[in-house]
Amino acid sequence: MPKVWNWQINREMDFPYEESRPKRQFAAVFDTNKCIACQTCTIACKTTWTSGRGQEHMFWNNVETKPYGFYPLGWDVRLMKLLGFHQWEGETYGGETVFESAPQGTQANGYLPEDQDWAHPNIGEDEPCGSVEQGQAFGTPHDVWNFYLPRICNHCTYAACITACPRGAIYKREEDGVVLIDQERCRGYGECMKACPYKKVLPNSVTRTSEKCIGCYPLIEQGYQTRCVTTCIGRIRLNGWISPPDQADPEKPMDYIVHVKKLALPLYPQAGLEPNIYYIPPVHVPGRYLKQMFGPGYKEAVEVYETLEEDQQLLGCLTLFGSTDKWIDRFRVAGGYAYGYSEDGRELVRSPLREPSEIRPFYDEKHQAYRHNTP
Amino acid sequence: MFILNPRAFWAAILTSVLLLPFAGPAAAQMDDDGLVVPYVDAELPIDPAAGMWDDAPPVTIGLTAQTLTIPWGGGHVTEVEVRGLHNGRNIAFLMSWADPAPEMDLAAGDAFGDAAAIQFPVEAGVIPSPFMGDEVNPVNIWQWQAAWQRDIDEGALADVDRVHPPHGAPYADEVMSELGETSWRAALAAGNWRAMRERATPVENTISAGFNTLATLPQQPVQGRGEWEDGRWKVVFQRAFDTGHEGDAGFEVGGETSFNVAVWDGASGDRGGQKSVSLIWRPLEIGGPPRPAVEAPVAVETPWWPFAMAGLAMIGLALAVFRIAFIPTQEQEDAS
Ligand code: SF4
Ligand code: SF4
Repeated sequence: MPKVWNWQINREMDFPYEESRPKRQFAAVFDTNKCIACQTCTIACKTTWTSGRGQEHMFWNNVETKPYGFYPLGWDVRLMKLLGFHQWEGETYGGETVFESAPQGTQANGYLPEDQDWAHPNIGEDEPCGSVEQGQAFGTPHDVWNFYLPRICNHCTYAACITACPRGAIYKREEDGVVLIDQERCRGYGECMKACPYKKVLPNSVTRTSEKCIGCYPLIEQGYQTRCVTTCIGRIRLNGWISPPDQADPEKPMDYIVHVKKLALPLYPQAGLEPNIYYIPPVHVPGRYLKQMFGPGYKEAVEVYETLEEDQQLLGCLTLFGSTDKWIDRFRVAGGYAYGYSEDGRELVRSPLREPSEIRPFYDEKHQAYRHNTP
Repeated sequence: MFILNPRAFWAAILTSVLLLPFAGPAAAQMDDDGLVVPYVDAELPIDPAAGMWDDAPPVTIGLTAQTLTIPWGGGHVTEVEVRGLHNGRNIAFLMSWADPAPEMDLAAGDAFGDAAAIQFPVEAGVIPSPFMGDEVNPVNIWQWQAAWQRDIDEGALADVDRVHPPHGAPYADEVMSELGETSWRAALAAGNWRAMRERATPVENTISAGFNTLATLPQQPVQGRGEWEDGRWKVVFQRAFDTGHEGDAGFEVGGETSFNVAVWDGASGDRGGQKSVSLIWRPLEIGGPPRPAVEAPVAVETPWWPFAMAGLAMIGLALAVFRIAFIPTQEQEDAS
């Protein structure tokens, strides 16, 4: 079996195909600290792509409360069970990936969700972790915690869904790294559903084929960001192209946040797929949980986030989240503004690092009235 | 690691040499136990329970799990009985196998339906790879699926209504226009045979040139019908001898070709490559219609001596293998 380099686990790994990276790789950064689980992204995606009969249970974008929310039911607990107990040795993953632990006669170590597992997309919503003793909820702030994890297909560099399809019906686009299922060739065998550790391939009960997030490719082809990114109420998301770490370009927002600042991390990198949705980890969650979910980089990421105010460049970059529906290729921060540019160098957006604000006195002399917010 | 001792190594080499004459593609991949398809002077039955099938001599084919290409699977159905009939215009096959739990629904993400397929070389007389054909010699595969049978018998979406009954809220197609609703069905728009609900036949006519290459043919001339009764599926496939289309298996009255079968047990999770298969080709002999008696042609004599010499050479080699592998040398005897 060929060996490929996976930078997220800092080592070579077994993979059924030779290493081959697309010309450009679709990516996004999601800031979990800002997500409010409003599900606007979920509904934006649903009304755009999955409103048909046979897609009732289908959410290409979902937002689940961690640690007790799952879609499909228990997906990451089951993934952890399949991978078994594993250790990071520093930056290097010491366990086996889903490819390396694949049972004989399969390409990846996975499981096929049961039909019912898709039936509770918002299970566990807002459930906290840890028991609330009397008074404790207002005691130490972080004993009781949860956070919101928005998820879409990771358009993985080493996509398990592609390796598992016996029909070769799934492919990764050379021009943008988007992973698509050919709806003409798919015969609904569900091998991709079984192999994808993130469970981001879903069955369509009417067409009897498998469907998944298409990275809003008709939009990105025209220079726009995806629906779930542009509609996000919390402005927690930004799309962009990501390079491998040795080719990181600090002017590209994804490269800057992920490779230069190491602020955003992949989801369950130990699965071995090199997923391309990167998460700014929640700062209030216990380290052991963050390490399990985002790998050993969590500490540095949390530290960077907590000192964000001192870093104008990074702050500027994050200011571009939700600032435009256009696809930002490069950015620059100068004079209190963050600028986003298209691939051909056009200025797409100019966003102030601080919105101008004014504090008015409580008593309005002119109208002889007190200002307060009760109607 | 297991290492052969030198004697066992040479015995293995000699054995391979001995078996070499049988390892030609045709010989290694063809079973003797073939199917004879007799001529009948009648319309062929599409009904799997029709009495006429009793006149067709059956052949029973053992099936095994598929472990040649990933994903491995199947092995839940161990044998299938095949019969054939023709009337000079059409040819029909009946496949039947034991299945205690018929599975006809495909609407759940973890449900896979029962299915059966029969495969022929596109060009009669050539022997393609039995593993779904090869690039030089493609195969024509007819696949029947229980779910497609239900689409025909009970109407579109029968399985969805059964597996996911609407609880109060109307389905999308009841609140959207038909065009609006079907526009979400990407697979249908892409022309995927599997996504169709209005179908004329439960049998898909496909072509394949090796694993991963199966494709629906533009023409769909194979008719069929499957019925499950008393723990058995019986499935009829029927087609005209000459369809005039490229990619369709060639049959000729009085001619010979070969075939190969596969069965999927949906309840065991079979689908795609996870299936029970007959690994080798079987000869398929298509009977001629009764003809007026003609003068018997003069038989051409085949010389016998090359065969006798080859036989003797093989016996000699076999003895050598036996001697090396099983009769101990002096040192070994001394040692024991
Ligand atoms: S997240 Fe799953 S479906 Fe998406 S590319 Fe990766 S393996 Fe495939
Ligand atoms: S729209 Fe944004 S804030 Fe709302 S749930 Fe989605 S990711 Fe979170």
